[in-house]
Amino acid sequence: MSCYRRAALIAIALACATLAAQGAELRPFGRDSWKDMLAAAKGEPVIVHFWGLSCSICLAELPEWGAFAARHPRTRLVLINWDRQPQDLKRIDATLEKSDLAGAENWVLGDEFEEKVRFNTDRAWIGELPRTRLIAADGTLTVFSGSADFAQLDDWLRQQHGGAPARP
Amino acid sequence: MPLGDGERQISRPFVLADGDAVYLAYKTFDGERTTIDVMVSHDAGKSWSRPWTAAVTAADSDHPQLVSDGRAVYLSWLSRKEGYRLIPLEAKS
Repeated sequence: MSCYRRAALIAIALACATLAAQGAELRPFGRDSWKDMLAAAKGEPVIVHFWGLSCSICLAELPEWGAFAARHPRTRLVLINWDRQPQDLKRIDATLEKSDLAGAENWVLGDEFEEKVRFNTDRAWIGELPRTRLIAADGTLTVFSGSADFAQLDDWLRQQHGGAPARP
Repeated sequence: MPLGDGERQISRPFVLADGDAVYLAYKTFDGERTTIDVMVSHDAGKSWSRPWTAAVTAADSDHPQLVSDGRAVYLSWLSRKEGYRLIPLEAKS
């Protein structure tokens, strides 16, 4: 029994070491994560982008998100990979690296009951990707599905910063 | 009838037609439980029964499918807690 336990601990340690060795830190997004994220966002605009490896629009668009993040280094950009468990973490990491997004705030689905996490995150979301939610500084939520209009996002950020140009 | 309620994650519709009989199954999630509701038409879709609940689960699940062996129509569904289920559907109208 203890032998099994030791083997399990070693396996977990190895898994952690593997994750740590990768470029992006991938946090598990669970049933309460959206609520926590909203609570933590107060007073600061946040852009939350949901993407998946099986979503070709997402993959085509990720480099543009990378460029957007580079343009707005002080903006909190949250990327949530919505592939169901067990995810291909290596490929997720490689994809983020390739799009210069390994340094962004990255999450992966951390619960096998995807419907429950999705319901708690966005009731009106039937699971289509990509999907983006904007949390304004005053807490107002905006959501859109499909590819992003980055000029419009730049404008939104500018408004969030009181009409002044978004500071690079 | 919750069909069209944007906050109940209605999804994965599946239609099976067998002569004039048309069956529709779809998924609904209420925040805790996933339900497979079914509706039937016996006049090629002109009129429909009210939906009834054919199966429920409180964990993750596959997409529902409808299958027929020529004599009866079944709901075919895999859910993590209950495993695979092949549920005969009784036509209700």
